[in-house]
Amino acid sequence: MATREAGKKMIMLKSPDGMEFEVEEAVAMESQTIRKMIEDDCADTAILIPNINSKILSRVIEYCNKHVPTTGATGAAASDTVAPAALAEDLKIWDAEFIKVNRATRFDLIQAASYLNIKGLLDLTSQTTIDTISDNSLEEIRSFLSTKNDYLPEEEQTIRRENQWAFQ
Amino acid sequence: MDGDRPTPAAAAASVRSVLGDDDLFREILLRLGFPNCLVRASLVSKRWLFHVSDPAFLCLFRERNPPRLLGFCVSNRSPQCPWYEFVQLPQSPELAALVRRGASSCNDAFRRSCQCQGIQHVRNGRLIAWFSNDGRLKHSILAPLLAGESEVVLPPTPPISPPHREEPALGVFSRIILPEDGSRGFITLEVPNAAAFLTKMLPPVRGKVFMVTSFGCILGLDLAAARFLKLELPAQIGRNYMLSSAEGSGIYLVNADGFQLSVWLHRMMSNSDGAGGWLLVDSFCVREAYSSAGHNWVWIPQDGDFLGVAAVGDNAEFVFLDYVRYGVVLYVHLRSRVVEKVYEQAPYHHGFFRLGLSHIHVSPFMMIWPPVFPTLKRDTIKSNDPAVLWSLNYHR
Repeated sequence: MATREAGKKMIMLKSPDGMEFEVEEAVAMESQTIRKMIEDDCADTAILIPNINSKILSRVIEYCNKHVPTTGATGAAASDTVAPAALAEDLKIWDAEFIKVNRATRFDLIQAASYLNIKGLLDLTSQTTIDTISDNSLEEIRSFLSTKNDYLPEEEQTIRRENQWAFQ
Repeated sequence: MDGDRPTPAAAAASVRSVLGDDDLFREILLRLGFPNCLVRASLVSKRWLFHVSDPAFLCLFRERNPPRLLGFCVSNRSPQCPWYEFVQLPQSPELAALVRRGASSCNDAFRRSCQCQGIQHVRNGRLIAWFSNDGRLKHSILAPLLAGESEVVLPPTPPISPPHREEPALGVFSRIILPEDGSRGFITLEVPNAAAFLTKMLPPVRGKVFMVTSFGCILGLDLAAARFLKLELPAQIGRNYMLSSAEGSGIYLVNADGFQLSVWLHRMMSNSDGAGGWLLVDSFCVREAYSSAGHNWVWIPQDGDFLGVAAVGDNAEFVFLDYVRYGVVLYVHLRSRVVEKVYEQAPYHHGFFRLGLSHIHVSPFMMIWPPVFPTLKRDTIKSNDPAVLWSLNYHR
């Protein structure tokens, strides 16, 4: 396995469109799926990440780079000088900027986060969908999520009547 | 925004591949957080309903998003003018409007019937209150979260025969319970001690109801066998305790000794009287937690102060404490160790807080759970045909 930068272990990730990304092992292990592969010793050479194109994979790596716990030589220095609350605030601002992407990219990121099992990224990417469901009318939800209404009016009424409290 | 804008078709394809993946779709739905958002989601389409109404999903949802405490009903129980009040607790925006209307509707009912004598059960967004009406007691179910829902007056409890002449030591105790807790809606007990005082009854746990008593033990009643059982208290627990149910698998007991809280769990096996015994699962000091959070005590906690355990939430999630000396109610969230003052009794016009012997009664009011969904029959034309026909059934 390649090592570089003061003995940091590096991992090669390959997207199906042929791009290769060399990342620190710690960064790649933000993904529970990759962590398991590494721990099971299935990751000697490059790891092929199926279904995630290079554009999305590079965004995912960007996210993991930012979110990898700051331990080790440089990390310890950083957390000595910055209070954890400030660090968390900084991450929140960074996340808000990161998620300003178009709808297709966001849903591709949801899928990537799910496949790679990165909980923080899945929380972040699905939040907009959650907000859409929480804040919009049914018609808006359906049109935003390309879903057809297949209820008969009386069926919809029954559910509304039984759970009247949910529509206050 | 990304530089290259995808075509609408590409965007729709991305959305479809996420929402079309059942596991991933459920992962997203789990993050909805609040039962009212879940109900709204169920109306998007029948496929959505199919996922959110699945019992396994609902179970997981509840685990991740336990029903919120919306507020509590509190009594200022002076002998002259009993009154009740619904106190809201701060909520996230998703629930704020719901709680506001619940509080105002509840308080309207209390004001209308100024003779509210007490609150027996508060469960799942409904409560049983009893009012005195021309010298007679009337039990009503209030559902303050439902708009326009009028109060339901319950049929009177069966007349209680006077104490047995031949057995003067026998007392009688009668309680109304919510219909979902028992088919007849009320429980009448003959208690083997006429002077016994039963202060609180839990909803049934594995077919048994448990009661806090004044005689130093917990009284249980096996509903099917109509048989009493006595549950000894953990060692050195005085009378200052309350019970709550533990996910239908046992009961919690929370005891306060000064500022020290101890939480005990008694697991119930289905076929035993719960002979497993009490297990101390948590203990913690309210005074330390409150002081270390940097609260500004406007009163000075002193050794020997009495904190009455007023109510305990399901699964011992939280405790309400009656800080008798100052007429204040403290809310303690046990897992997060948060201690907050949530209520302060108004001083009487003569300047004193209240008579030493009166207790504040607190009844926690929880969010409704679960939503009521019809069962869905999935009639697939072909096994993996996307065109699925659904039929809805409500089983009552």
